[in-house]
Amino acid sequence: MRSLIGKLTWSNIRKRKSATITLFILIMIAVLLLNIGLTVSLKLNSFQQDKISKLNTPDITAYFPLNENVKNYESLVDSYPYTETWENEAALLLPDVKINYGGNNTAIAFLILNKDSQRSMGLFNTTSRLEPADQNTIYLPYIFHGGSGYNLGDTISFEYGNNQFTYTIGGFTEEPLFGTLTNGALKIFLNDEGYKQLEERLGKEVQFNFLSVQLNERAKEVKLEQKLSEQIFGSGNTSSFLVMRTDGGLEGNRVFVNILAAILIVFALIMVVISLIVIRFQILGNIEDNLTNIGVLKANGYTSRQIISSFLLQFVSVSIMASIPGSLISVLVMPLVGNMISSSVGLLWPTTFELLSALLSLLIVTVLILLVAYLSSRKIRRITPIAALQSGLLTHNFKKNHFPLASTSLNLQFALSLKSLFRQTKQNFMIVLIVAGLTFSSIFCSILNFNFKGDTSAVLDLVGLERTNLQLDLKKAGHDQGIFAEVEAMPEVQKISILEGRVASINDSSFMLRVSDDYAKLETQTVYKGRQPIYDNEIAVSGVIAKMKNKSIGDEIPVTFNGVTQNYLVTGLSQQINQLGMVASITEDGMRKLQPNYSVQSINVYLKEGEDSQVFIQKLEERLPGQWNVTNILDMLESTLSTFTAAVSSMTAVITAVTIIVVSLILYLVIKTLIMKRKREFGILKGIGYNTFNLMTQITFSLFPVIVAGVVLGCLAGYFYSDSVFVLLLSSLGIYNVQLAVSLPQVLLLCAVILVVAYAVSMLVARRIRKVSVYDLIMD
Amino acid sequence: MNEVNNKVLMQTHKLGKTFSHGGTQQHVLKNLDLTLYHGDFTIIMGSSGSGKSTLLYAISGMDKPTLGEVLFEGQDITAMSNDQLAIFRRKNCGFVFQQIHLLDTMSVLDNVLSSAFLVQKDRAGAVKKAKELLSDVGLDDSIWGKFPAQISGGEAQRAGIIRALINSPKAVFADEPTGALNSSAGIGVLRVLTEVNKQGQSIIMVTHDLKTALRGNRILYLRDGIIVGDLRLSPYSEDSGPERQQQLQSFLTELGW
Repeated sequence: MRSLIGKLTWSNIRKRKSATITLFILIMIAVLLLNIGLTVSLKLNSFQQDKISKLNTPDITAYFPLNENVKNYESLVDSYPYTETWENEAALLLPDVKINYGGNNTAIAFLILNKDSQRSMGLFNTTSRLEPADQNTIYLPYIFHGGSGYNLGDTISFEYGNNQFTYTIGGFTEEPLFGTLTNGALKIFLNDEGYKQLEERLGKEVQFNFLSVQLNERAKEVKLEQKLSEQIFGSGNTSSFLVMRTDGGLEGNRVFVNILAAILIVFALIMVVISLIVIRFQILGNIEDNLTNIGVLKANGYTSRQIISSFLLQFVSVSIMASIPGSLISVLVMPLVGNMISSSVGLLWPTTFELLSALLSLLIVTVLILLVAYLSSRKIRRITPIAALQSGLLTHNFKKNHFPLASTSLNLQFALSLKSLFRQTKQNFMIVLIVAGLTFSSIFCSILNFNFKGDTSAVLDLVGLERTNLQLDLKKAGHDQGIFAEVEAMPEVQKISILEGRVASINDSSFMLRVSDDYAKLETQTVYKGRQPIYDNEIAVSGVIAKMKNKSIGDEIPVTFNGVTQNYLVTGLSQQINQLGMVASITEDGMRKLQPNYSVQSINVYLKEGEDSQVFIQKLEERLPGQWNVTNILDMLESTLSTFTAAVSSMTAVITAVTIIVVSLILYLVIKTLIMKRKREFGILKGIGYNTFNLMTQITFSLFPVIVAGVVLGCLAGYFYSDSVFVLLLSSLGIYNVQLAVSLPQVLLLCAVILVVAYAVSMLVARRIRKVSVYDLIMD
Repeated sequence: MNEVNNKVLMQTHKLGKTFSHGGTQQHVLKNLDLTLYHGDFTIIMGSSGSGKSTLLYAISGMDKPTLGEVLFEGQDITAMSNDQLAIFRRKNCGFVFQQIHLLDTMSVLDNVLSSAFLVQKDRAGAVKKAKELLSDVGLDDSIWGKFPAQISGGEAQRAGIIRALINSPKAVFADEPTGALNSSAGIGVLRVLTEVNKQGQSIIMVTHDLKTALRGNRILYLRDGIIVGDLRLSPYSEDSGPERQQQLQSFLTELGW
C-alpha cells in the first residue's frame, strides 16, 4: 500500500509540475531567509562572547586624560573588592580625526594604543597582517575593511588638528567594544616606534590612559563603573573620557544587527505563511479537479487516510527537497550577511555552516506544511465515493449572478472580468493576504531605509544622540560661564544647548543622568509620555528605569550621585537605545541639588544653515584660543549611521526583489491554474468570437483589482503601522514609541512598481492562452 | 441545391487535416473540395472517426487545416491569424455543440448576451432580441436568470442555439446538437433549427442519427476524410412522406452505413 501512496503522490506532482516548481521556489526562499535569520540570531550573542573570551576583553574599560589624578583612579580600582585584575596603559585620544570613511569625509575619534605594550586584556588581534611593519604601519578595526573597503597594504591618510598623517595599513583588528563607531572612539594600534613618534608630534594634549578591569562577580556588581565616573568628574576633569561596561557596549553594537535579523526572520515567516496559503490553495484545487479520480479510488477500496497521505507525502517531500537547496544557498549567501555583520559589530563573522539553524528551519517549515496539508486535505474524509464520482455535483454552489450583462453599463470585457472576480472569493482572499503581506514588508524596509539614509532624525531620537553640529568641552574647569554666551553670539551660530551626562544610580542601579538647562532647546526629543523636567525637583526617566523600579509619572524617585541622594518627581518617560535605555534627565538646578558646585563644562553648538563646521572651528580658535576640545558630532553621527545604511539598503533591496519575485510566482501559479481550470470556458468564449487579447484582459482584470486591493492594504498598513512594528522589534530595548519619517513619494513609487510588475506578469502569463487552439480547448 | 438560394456560402480547395501523435501521423481530412450554399441545411454524416467534426471545425474557422484553403464568401480564412479568426467567427458563425458548452458560471441570459455584446453596439436592442429569441424557443423569463446546471439539457441546448443565432450569423455550425439529449428534448432542438433554416439561416450540422439527418436538404457522407456521397433532398417539412426517409436510407445503405 505504501508504494500505492507513493504512486498517487508522484502522479499528483507530475500533473502539476509548474505548481510544484513554484512551491519549491517559495519554500526554498523561505528556508533560505529563515536559516540566515536564525543563524544570525542564534550565533550573534555567542559569537561576541567567544571573541571576548579569546581577546580577554575586560568587564570595565575606561579612558581619561593623563594627569595627576590617574593614581587616584588606579587606587580606586585596585581597592575595589570585586576587582580581579586591572591594568592601565598609555593611549592617545584624537577626538576629531578627519578621515575618508565609506567614500565620505567624516569625523571619527581615534584611541591609539601601542601595539608592543604588554597587556593581558583587550588583546591585539588581527585578521591578517602585513609584514614587515615599521613606524608608518597602522592597525585599524575590521570595519575599515568590511565597511569602508580599505585593504591590507593600502595607504590611509587622516587629518587631526592641522596635521596630516599618512600610514600603511598593516592589519585589521578585531575589537568587540571599540571596533565600531557606536561606542565612541575607535581603537587603533601603532607599533612602538610609530606610537612614540605620534605622541611626540601631538604633545601632551592627546595623552590619555586606557584602563582595563576584570571583575570577579561581574553579574552582581555595577558600582565600580559609577564610582570611577564620579571620581573622574569629581577631580574636575572636563576633557573627553569614557567609562564603559562591556555588556552595555556589546549591546550597543548588536542593536542594529538584531533589528536586521528580526526583520529577516519576520519576512521569512511571511514567506512561510505564503507557502502555506499556496499549499492550501493547491490542495483544495487538486481535490476539486480530481474529485472523479478520488471517487474512483474510494470506490476501488482506497481509504481516505491513504488518499490524504498521498497529499501529505507530496507536500512534505517538496518541502524537504526545497529545504536542501535553500540551506545550501544560505551557505553561499551567509558570507555576504557575515560581512554586513562584521562591518556593524567590528568582529570577523565565522563562515561555518550552522547545522542547528538549518535543521531548525527545515523542522519549522516541514511541520507547518504538514499541518496545513493535513487540515486542507481533511475534507476528503467527508466526500463519499458517489459524490466524488458525480464530479462534485453535490458540492455545486449556485451563486448569485454578479453583474448581469443585461443590466450592466460596464464595458463587456470589464464586466466579464468582474464576474469571474466575484466568483473566486477564496482565491481573492488568498491573493490579497499574500500581496498585502509582501507589500507591507517592502514598504516597511523602504521606510527603514529612508530613515537611515534620508531623514535620520527618528533613528537618532531612538538612539538618543543629540543632533548638533559640534560639541565644545571646556579644557579647564571653573571657567567663566559667560564664555558660552560669547559662542552663542557668534554670527555662524544658530543656537547653543546644554546636555551633559553623569553616571548616577537609583537604588544601586547605575544609569546615565542627563543634565540640561532647557530641554526644549534640544533637537533630539526622547520623551514619549509626559514632559521633560522644568523645575529642580523634577526628573524624566526612561521607560526601562520606570519599569524596573515600578514608577510612573507623578511618583517620586531617589537619585544618588557622589554619595548624595535626592528625591525627584517623575514628569515624563523617555526612551533611547543608547546606555541600554538606562537614562534619566534633570535640570541644571536639579543637578545642583546633588552636586552644589556643579557647573556646565560643555555645550552643543548648532550652526546656521550653510555654515561650515571647519571654518567655524577655526574662527572659534581664533576668537577664544586654547579653550575648547571640539567634537564634530554631526559627522560622527553620520559615520555611525553609515555603518548600518549598507545593511539596511541591502535588506530593502533583497526584500523588494523577493516581493516582486514572489508576487510574480503567485500570479503565474494562479493564472496557470485558472487557465487550466477554465479551459473549457475560455474555449467556448474563443469559439463564439473572443480573441486572445479579450481573454488576456479578462484574466488580468479578474485578478488585478485583487492585487490592487492587496497593494493598497499593504501600503496603508506599511504607511500607518511601520512604527508599531518597529516598536515591536525594539521593545526589548525599552523603545515604546517611534515616529519614523515616511517619504510618501517613495512609498507610492514602490506600490506603483509592484502594480506595474503584477500587471505585466499577469498579461504575460495570460498570454499562454494564445497558444491553445480553440478546438483543443473545447475538445480537451 | 436549395431551390430558394444558390449563392455560394463557402468553398474548400484541397482541404487536409493531419494530426500527429507521438511521431505517427493521422490524415483525418484528405484533399477535400467542397462547396456549401447559403440557406442550405447541410448534414455531414459518416462513421465514427471519419472526420465529420474535424471538417466542421476546419470550415468554421474554429481550427486551422493543415493543407488547402477555405473560402468563406470568397475570403480565405485559412490565412487568418487566430485573432482574425476570432473576429471572423463572432461576425459570421454561430456554434451549437453536442456538450452544449454553456458557460456554467453565467445565467442563461448572460450566456446569450456574452456573445451578443461582442458584436452589437445597441445593448438594449440586443437584450430585447435575446429575450425574444429565448421566448420563441420556449425559454421564458423564469429561465433567463438560471444557471446552466439548474435547467434541463434540452433547455440548455435551446439556449445554446439562441447564443449561436443572436448575432444573425451567416452560418450556424452544429456538432451533434442532440447527441446528449433525450428523444423529446432532441426533437425540440431540431424543431428550432428547422424553423430558423426555413427563415433562411444556413446550417451545417454533423450527426450520425438518421432522423436528425432528415432535417437537412443536403447530405454529405464522409469516409476516411473524403466525401464519398452528396445527396440533395427536398426541404424538410413536418408533412414529409416516408419516401424522403427511404431516399436517405438507400443513399446511406449504398455507402455502407
